[in-house]
Amino acid sequence: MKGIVFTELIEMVEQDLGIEIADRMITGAKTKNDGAYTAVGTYDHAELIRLVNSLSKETGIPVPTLVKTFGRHLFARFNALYPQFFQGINSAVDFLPMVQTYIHVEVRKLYPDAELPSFACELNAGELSVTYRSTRPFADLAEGLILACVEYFRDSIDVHRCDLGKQNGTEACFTLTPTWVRGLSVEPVSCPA
Amino acid sequence: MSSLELLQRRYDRERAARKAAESLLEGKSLEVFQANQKLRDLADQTKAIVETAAEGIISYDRDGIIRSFNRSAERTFRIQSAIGKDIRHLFLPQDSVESVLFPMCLKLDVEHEDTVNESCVLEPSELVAMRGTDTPFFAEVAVSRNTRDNVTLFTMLVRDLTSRKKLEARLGQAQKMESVGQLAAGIAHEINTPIQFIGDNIKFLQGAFEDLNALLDVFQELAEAVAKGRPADGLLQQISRQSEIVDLQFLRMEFPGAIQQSLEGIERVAGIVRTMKEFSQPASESKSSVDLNRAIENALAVSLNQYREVATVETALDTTLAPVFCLSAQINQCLLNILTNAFEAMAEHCEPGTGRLRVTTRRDGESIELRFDDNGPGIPANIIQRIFDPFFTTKEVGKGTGQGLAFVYDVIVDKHDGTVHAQSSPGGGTTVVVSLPIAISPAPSGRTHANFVG
Repeated sequence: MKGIVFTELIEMVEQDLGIEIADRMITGAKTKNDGAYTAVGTYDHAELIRLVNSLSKETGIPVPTLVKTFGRHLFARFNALYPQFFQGINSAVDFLPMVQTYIHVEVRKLYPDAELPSFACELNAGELSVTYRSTRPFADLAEGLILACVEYFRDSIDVHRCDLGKQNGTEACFTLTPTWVRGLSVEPVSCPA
Repeated sequence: MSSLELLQRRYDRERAARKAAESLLEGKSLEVFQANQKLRDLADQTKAIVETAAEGIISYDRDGIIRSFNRSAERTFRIQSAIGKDIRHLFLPQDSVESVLFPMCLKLDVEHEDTVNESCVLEPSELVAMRGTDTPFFAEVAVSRNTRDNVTLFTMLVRDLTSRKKLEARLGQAQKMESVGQLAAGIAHEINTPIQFIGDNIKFLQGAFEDLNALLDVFQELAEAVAKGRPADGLLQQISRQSEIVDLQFLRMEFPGAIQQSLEGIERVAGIVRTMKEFSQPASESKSSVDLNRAIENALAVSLNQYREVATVETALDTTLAPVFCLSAQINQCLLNILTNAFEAMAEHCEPGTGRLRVTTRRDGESIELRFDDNGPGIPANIIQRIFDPFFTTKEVGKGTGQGLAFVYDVIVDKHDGTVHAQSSPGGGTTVVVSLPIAISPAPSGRTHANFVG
């Protein structure tokens, strides 16, 4: 996993919860490098899970909530660091399909060996479904990113999540339904059995 | 833990992270250097391959602007560098040039099945190119088209066909002379017969003239005697005796026949010589209007005397046929090759005199169809697909070159956009059908032949 995810997590904790909580999170996680992450490095994703678990113990906040919050933070940081990806886009429905077709392509130019998750998008009658698939259980992170994206574009969109596969956070489908579409629909969005 | 301690710990982490980053960057710099080195080596190697390639290699964009031009291309076109020029200026303007230089891809590359990246390679074509500013030459060009990230680039391989064309012409001429040589013996016999009777007739006329000369002397004496009023009875008796000796009545009856027969013989010899001359003249590169019926009659005249004992020939030629615009010498050679093939097959497998060859011509839409039906042994089903292949022959080593029907295919299909195929029945008999378009397009599309076994 790219180092920017680790450095941003530590920065978020320092910024929102203070330097002491961040230090305790790192100490409690017992990672190989004692939290000395660099954005250009690559690290085992299990270390991120240990960091989040450690933070959860320190704060008493459930892991999914922390990861979703971190997803929102990451979106804001990406927006600040890479504004070119957001130029000329006015809606999450237009932006999210570009994650796989454009942003991931650009990421691979810098990091050819990056192991990126898949974001398969399908637009049907105004409703966008985003299917997240990864070898890592970060569907909560994806959810935080998607929710922040919808908020950023001030879209009036409902986001519905269905966990897929082994229900362990490696696969999930997010359905983004604009409210004007919701008004037309008789059937509410439901997860497959 | 005090704030100072916390900050110290944070500082230690940041410093360790910075060192890790620096180490990573050093590693990446080395990787980039090594990758650049490899790319440079690869580029040098590729450039060396392109520059030393025996064929001209040219790349150009969709506007035809030349981007690269290797040494062979410079040699072939005798231009120092054509980079920045229009590729079209290297070729004579022809209808087919644009479609050859800027081919449309029919298939996307398997590995890039999207519309962004595509590549395709097309079959080589022949174009007339310009060497320097004023010397046209035949060139074989193979163009590939490659589109990456919406940028289209064409790559052309160019091969100068001048030497090959010369060799082909020499080979064609050699084949023709070989055919003419084979036919020479038969033709010598054909010429010998009229020469024989012409000679006999002239000898007869010579002898008769000597006899007549004596009679004419007496007539002259008679005329002088009458003019001077001298008696002429003796001379009249002498004329009567001499007339009986020379058999004047017989001579008056035979003279016109002998003269007429001699003139006909001379015409036969002249006709044979004329036909041979037409067949042996060098092939012209330009097409001309040809009467196919006359061409068939010529080919039959040349070949039949060799096989007169083998087969009888029947012709049903449509006298209303329009002339065909074609390479006359090459068409003549094709007809001779087809006829020779048929006669040789009948000579080998038919009793003398039982061979039958029927040659017909007719208009078939926008084409003229020529059919050659023989009652030879036929062509076995397992080889009928190969008879037009170069060097394919069923004759024993040294007897056949396997070039006869391959030449026919090349001339009819490749050079005239026509078709040729053979049909054969298990019971024997072969029909070769040639179809030539009356209006021949300038760029043959390479129609193929098909053979059938009935």
